[in-house]
Amino acid sequence: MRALRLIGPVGYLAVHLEILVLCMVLLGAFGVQLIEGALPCPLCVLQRLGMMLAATGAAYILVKWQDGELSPLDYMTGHGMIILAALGGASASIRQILLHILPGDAGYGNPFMGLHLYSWAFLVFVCLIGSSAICVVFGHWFLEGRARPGWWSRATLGLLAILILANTANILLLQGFHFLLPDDPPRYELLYDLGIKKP
Amino acid sequence: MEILSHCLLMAALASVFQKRKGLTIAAFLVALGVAALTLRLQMTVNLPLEF
Repeated sequence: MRALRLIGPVGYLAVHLEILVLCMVLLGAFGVQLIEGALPCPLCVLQRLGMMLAATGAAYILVKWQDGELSPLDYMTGHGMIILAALGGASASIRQILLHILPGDAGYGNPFMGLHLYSWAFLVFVCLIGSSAICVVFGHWFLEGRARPGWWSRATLGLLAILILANTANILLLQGFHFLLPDDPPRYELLYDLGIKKP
Repeated sequence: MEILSHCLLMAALASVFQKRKGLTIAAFLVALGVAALTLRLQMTVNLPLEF
């Protein structure tokens, strides 16, 4: 029983951690875009979308948990959403890795700590699948833990909501009135589509 | 397509906050499906493998 008291809160914290790690990665991607001026390619956008969808799965668990309404079924639904979103995002990462796998190819964008951002994204998706699998395997222990809702839970959910809104505004600016995002986008198309900027 | 998938993502998050499980799962799965379709289209139109 003592072990349960120790392990229980880990499940509640792990959900926060999953959302916060994904938010940090998304903030880092925004940083690269705004500071280095490297606009995201369509595959980068799909990887960001995969991370936000995975974070939505974690948010589903967190919202239910902090209100004391989390059932084992909801817990499995949330982690299933995380795994599905991570599989979708990982397929975009793998596609981008394959595009630049030939020797001599410099890759897209600048590497960070020796790896390109899409390689890091693939590692993030693999870790997400692993962490969700662990949470489901030990779910009967984690679900024993009582939620400790507070400002940190609201702040975590608020940060995620702000980042999803910012990413949607970003994609609206990048894509403009076009059906698909262009390969290697050179500019914010909406500004040109509305005539705010002249080509 | 990318805008549509982001709008569906926002719908999924909004329904999470409203605690509407069915709507959350529906919006999530449709967003994921649109993202998969976008990836397929991008692979054909913009980013084919060139070996």
